[in-house]
Amino acid sequence: MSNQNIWVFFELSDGRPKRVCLEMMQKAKALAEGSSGKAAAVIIDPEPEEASKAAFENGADQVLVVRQKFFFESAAYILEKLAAKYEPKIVMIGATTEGRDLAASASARLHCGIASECTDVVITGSGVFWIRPSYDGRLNTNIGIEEAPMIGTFKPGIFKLEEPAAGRSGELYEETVEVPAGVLLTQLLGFTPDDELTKANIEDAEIIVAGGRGVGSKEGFGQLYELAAVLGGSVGASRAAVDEGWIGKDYQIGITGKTVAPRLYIGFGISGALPHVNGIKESDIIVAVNTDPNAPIFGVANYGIVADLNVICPALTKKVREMKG
Amino acid sequence: MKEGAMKILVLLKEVPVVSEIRINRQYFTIDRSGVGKMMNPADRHAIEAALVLANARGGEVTAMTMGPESSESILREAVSLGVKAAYRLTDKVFAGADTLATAAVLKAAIDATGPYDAVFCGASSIDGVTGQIPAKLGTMLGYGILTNACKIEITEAGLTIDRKAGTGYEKLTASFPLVCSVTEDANTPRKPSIKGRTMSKRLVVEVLDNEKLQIPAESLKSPSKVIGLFPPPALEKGQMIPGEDPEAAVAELVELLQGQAAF
Repeated sequence: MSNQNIWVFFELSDGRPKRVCLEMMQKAKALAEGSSGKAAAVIIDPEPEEASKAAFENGADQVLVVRQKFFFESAAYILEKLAAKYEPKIVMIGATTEGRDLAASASARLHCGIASECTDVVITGSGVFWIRPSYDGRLNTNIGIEEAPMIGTFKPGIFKLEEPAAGRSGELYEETVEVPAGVLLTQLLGFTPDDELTKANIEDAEIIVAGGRGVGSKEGFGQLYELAAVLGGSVGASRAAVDEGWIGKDYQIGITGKTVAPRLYIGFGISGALPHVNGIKESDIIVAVNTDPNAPIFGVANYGIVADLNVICPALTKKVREMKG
Repeated sequence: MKEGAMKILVLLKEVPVVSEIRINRQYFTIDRSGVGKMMNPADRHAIEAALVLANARGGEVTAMTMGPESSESILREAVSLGVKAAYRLTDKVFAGADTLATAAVLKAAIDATGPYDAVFCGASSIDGVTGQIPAKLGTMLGYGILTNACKIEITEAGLTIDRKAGTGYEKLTASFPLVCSVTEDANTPRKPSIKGRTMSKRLVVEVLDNEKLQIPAESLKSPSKVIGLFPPPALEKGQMIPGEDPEAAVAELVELLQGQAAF
């Protein structure tokens, strides 16, 4: 008989857990609170100490550690073995590049249900319900899974990250799983950083200056890059601007692009269509500038200005520059 | 076909033209009537990758789709591009299949019609957008798994791919047999040839149902079910700052943001 435990798979980068894992860990703790279950982190890494500490501080009651190098194929095998032993109810996995493959492979090994790239999860008496966007974000699909274990994946920025509880601790379990040679059929040869892509790594940005159809041209984005630089933030875009070819697809924010949850989001010339809004709604503060007073974005923004972005953007850049000295 | 030539499979999906679907926010209904159908965009790039491999190594490409009769049109489209044969998988018991059950059906069809050296597919489909099938299927088949390829290099024993990963590119490699999913920036799909169009008209799609595939009921169970659809919650209206005087507007905005320690 399986228990009510909720697992969060921790994917590390240089020994540090990826932000999405901490977000899910806090959510798992909140979910476990209402039930008899515990929230646990699963860490596969030769040096899991820092991540274990972070897991406890972000809500894990238990941490399971396997001291091995992480790769999605072996990790899926390990998860299968651990799940057979500990019988968790839910396994949450970050929808990162490797996380997606891990989740799909693990769901095949576990023959279990999976809800991918969800925006929320709700546990009730009659089962677990996963909410994910569909039809370009215009409608949400509610997916029900009853049997344990089940997997749910989440993109970064879906759950807001609160302050961790420094010094909090819990139960640590070390497991050894021998992975047979035939499991590893794929090999990661290496990683090459790319400046263009770095600029577009907006999921972790604390401040985002985004542009939409109102920006009008590729050159029009220049003022947004300037404001972003002065604020110490990143530039993003709506699908309309990307489709026009004014900026690359890696900068696209929305249901078919990236989900962001910055401290501050400023949208210039963005109408606020649902697919885009779904990608920014976890932002702490949303500011919108648009010449159309009926733009839907004003229904979502905390602060709105009906004005020409070509006037407001440079004026804002000048003001912030003055303030920062 | 030559001795030692490769057998390559490309998996295709017929999807609705999502933008044409009308959604009634009041009654949470979806009106799919009259909505066009098309080949999932990324699949065209999977076909191209498959044909490039067949050309380089000698071999033939087969297309396969799980779908209703209308989906035969995407199989014909594949043949017009150079694919040699096509299968359509269909049965009442496949209805409502989630990604697990779908992968089980595909695996059974691959076991029945293969073995294949390489299975290509689109990285994700525009309707479900789960991107689950490649790694799931690869795991079930015991094949190497190369997903989200934006660049494909043919090696001695398999494929090496590049894919976007956060701040840069990852390079991965696997030997045949393997599953490779392809993104839309991986290549430029060729246009149909005159010969291809003729072959496409002559194509007899082989239909495989569960009587032929013999998949046990247990493997066709879908652990996840769509319970319903509903519109996202409406968000609260915020504070409007008068925009007539830009200097004043900017000053007020900055003060408000500073009060919130926004930057």
